[in-house]
Amino acid sequence: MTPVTTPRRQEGCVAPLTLEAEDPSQPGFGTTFDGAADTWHVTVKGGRVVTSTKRGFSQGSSLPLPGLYVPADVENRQKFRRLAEDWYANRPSVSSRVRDMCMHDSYQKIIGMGRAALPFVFEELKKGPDHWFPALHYITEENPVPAEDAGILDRMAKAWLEWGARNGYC
Amino acid sequence: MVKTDTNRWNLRGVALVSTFAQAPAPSVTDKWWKRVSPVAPDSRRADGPPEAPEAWTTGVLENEFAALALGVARNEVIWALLPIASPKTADRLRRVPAMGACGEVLDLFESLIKKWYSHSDLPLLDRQGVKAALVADAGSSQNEALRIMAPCLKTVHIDTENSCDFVYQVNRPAPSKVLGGGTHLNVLSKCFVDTAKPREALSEVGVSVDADVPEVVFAATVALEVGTQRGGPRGFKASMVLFREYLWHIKSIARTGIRRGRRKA
Repeated sequence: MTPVTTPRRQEGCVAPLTLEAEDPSQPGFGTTFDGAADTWHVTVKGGRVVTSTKRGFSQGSSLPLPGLYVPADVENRQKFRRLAEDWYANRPSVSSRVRDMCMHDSYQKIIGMGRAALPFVFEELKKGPDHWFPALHYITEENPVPAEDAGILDRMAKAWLEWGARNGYC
Repeated sequence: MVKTDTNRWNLRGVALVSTFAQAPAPSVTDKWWKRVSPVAPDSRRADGPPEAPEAWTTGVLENEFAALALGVARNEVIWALLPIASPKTADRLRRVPAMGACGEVLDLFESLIKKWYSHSDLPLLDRQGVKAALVADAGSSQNEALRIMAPCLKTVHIDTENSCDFVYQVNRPAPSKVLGGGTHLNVLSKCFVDTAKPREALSEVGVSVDADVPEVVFAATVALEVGTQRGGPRGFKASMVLFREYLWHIKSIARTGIRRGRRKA
């Protein structure tokens, strides 16, 4: 079998726009390229174009070529998932005070996501009661839990899930 | 001539890159979006370092499989169609993502961009080129990807059973059929095997992953760049016919593969 070689450029050709290899330290969403990778990697995430600043998409070009488009809601889900997994894995033990658990950096970042995080918080709450109530309270500025149910996780979760359903979050 | 299986090639992405003599004003690019896009933008972002700011406008088209993106940096403008990664496109994330059959998506792209060329505010274009990536799904077999690629390459043989890390790049200049006057197009093709990780991709968009979803999938890929040397500035009519000629070359490669080049006169 004849070995594959790249032919030399024909004499007299004008300079082509150049295909450049993507920066392997910045893989695109859900894909990895082999050594032949090109700039189709660059990803638009949640409307934000994630680019490699080291390499333009073509010679003399300052703009990268977009790859996949990740809508903002999907990007929020990805972000929430990362933060929630980190909180589950690294929060103080369940015997600690709730306040300490909620001061965890990832938990605070989830609160910082604002209402965009609510659908995902309610999804977690449906799986089983956990200490998502402070986050829900801070984000919504509501407290649908009756005073007599305070501290009873099952009932608190039920009250919040009903609130979430009434307000279109779950 | 051996024809490739036209239906096999899907479009991974396509972009029109235009360079103007002067940077367009943001108010002008807003008008461009309204004229070209059938949908309102779902995001507008400014990115890039202060010395080289980028502005991106993006919107999901009604078919929900493709997003339109308009990027502006200095005097350069990109219009692009790109696949969407979301739970709605989960079936497509099981393969190397693509927007649909090559010809159909290019027709959609052309119908959108034609509206841009007819905009009265469009200044003279210094240079323009089209980039596209064609993919043909090969499932979990890298060798199958090479077998798909083989009939596309008329001048080389591939050992499809014992090769890996295959790369073939060639520029086939061709005289412009619409502009004439010694204008030559560069038709740069780069062939390789692309990979995707469906399990990772599905998980990222929040879709549960079945046990039968493979870890890695492969696709024969032809990345194309079609453009001209700086011959401008050109008016929008000449630019539009040139753009259509670029698309013709891409469709031709999807249909018949990469043919032998013709020497310049």
